[in-house]
Amino acid sequence: METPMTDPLEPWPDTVDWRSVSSKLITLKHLHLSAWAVMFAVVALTVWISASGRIALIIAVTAAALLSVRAVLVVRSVRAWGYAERADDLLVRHGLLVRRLSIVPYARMQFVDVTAGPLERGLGLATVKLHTAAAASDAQIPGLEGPEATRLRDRLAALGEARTEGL
Amino acid sequence: MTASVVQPRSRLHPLTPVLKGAKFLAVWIAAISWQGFSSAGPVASLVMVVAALVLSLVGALVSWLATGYEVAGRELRVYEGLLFRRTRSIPLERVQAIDVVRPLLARLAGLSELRLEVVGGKEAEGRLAYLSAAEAAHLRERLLALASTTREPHRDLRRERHHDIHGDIHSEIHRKTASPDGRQPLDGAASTGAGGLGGTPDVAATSVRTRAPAVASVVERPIHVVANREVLISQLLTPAALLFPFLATGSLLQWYISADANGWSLVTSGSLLTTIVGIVAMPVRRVVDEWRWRIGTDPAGLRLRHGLLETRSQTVPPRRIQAVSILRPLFWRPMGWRRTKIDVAGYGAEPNVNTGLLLPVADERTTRLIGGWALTGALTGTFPESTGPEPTDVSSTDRGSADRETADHGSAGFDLDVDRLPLVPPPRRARWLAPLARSILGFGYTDEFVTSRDGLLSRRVVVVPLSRIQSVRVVQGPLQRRLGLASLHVDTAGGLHAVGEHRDAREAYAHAATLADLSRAARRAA
Repeated sequence: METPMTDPLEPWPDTVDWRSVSSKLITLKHLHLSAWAVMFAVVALTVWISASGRIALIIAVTAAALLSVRAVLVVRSVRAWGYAERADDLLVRHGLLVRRLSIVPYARMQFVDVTAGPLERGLGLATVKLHTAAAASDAQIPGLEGPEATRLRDRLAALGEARTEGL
Repeated sequence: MTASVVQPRSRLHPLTPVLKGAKFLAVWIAAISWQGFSSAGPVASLVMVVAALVLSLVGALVSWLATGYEVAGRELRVYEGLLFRRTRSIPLERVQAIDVVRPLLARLAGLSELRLEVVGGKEAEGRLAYLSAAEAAHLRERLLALASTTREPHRDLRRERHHDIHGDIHSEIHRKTASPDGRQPLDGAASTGAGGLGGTPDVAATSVRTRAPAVASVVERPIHVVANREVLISQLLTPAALLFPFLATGSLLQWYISADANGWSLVTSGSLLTTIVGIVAMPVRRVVDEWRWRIGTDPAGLRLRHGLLETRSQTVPPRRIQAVSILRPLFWRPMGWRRTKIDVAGYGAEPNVNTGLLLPVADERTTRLIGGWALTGALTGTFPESTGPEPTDVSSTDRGSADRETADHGSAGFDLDVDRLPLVPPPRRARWLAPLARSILGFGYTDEFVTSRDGLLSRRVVVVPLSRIQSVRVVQGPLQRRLGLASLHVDTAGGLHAVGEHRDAREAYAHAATLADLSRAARRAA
């Protein structure tokens, strides 16, 4: 595990085989942002009709600026989400502003959740979350393609059983 | 995965939507409320009730159609949700107890609910509501059979709880008061196979409330008694108690002034009383709870007895200890007192991991010995046999009792000397982020435990045995990134975590990798 410089965006690049999540997650997040954009547009419209046009313009411009910045950042943030299955534990890294890395041993796994909302399912994605006895364990991987999510879930469950080392 | 499918995907019982719909209906009616009914008139009210009923039934029906369960291989899979789908896979090895719960309505319909409790988890992570009674029992047997191949025959893993219409749990209470000194394990909960808590399938950490002072069993060996005087003084030295005179005077003055101006009023008097009581409630409650604190040891583990009005007796088997922490509050510094806490994983109706007190107040030497005692138990699985200090009482707080020192050392127990823990401070550049706390922060590990220190005014040291680590995380915020720092979190099942704040980033990642390896080795060895 010795590397001269550890880049938090990809820790241990030499020894760990990082996999990224599907880029369809970017599409999903952009869809969420468009929903926000629609909402802001409606708000601006109502303000324009009922009150002054200037405030509506300010709202519209601010919203547009924030949302577009967010849309650009989303691309990078999704690319920064990675996971790796090692022999005994699962590594998950994510986050751009606050960079996080979790190392969760398979033996500590209590159960695995696979969740998918309607938009996610439409795009064929799912989120896999590994739970341990600690509430702060943060092993959540969104944007996994369907077969990959099932494979990961099955593998985690099987490994969890195999390495039962108790609490 | 081509796992053997023991139970193909099945639906819950068809009457489930009716029962769940009935529950929704009650909620709806409560929401509309009698006032709504009276203002809307009889016909409109009837329409509203019928509409609510239909909506609830449809909602529950849709939810029922989308819910299913399946036993594939050695895991239970529960499918839920139509719009937001969720599949929960619970490996049966991790299942600690399976409850059969029968709320009133379900019992009338001949149905029951299955609740799976997972090792170290919250109340019920896997819920199957409702199955027919026979099916529930059958499924429970099969799940338990799959979960463990070596089940002790006398241990009855069945646990039935009967809820009345208000959801109170009755039969639990009867079981709990069965044994006055709390040595009987909570029936119904046991570690199933190798996945159990701490590996030892015997006595769980129990807690029994009795009216009379708990009678110590003959086998129990007393280790330490905390002087009541110390408990009292220590709670007088808390912020709440120290501020109490000022706040009370202030409230009194305010009340007097307002009463003078507006006339005596019940409201102002009531609020005055509430304020005063509220301020002083916490220290008083602690004194009452920590009165006559006695620590003893018996074959099952550590025994803690305490309580003034309601005496409590707790058994702590060594392997259930998840972490130990020593707190040195600011106001106790002149007395040199410390407060020791432990995280204990429990069973059953108790919340699964309790952060409890080991020593409410003790001087440094006692804390070192008793804390070390508990830590040795957590690390090795048994408390040191012949090594504890003599039963101590008030006189042990004398600092000049040098002859006692020699009697206590030469033991196999660990001496939890905070000064000699391998705590490494953060690098100098951390002073930009934590200028005052930098000299206090510390983090380090041996091949047996991890330790960290924090707290500016009240120092806190946490020690976590490596075998109890749940997960390791490295978190780096934007400012930390600029300075090349990162924080290392060691998560445990419970409230006491070891955190290494503002470490050198490179080191933090290296430590994380090392801790992952060390904790794996420790788990295997344990």
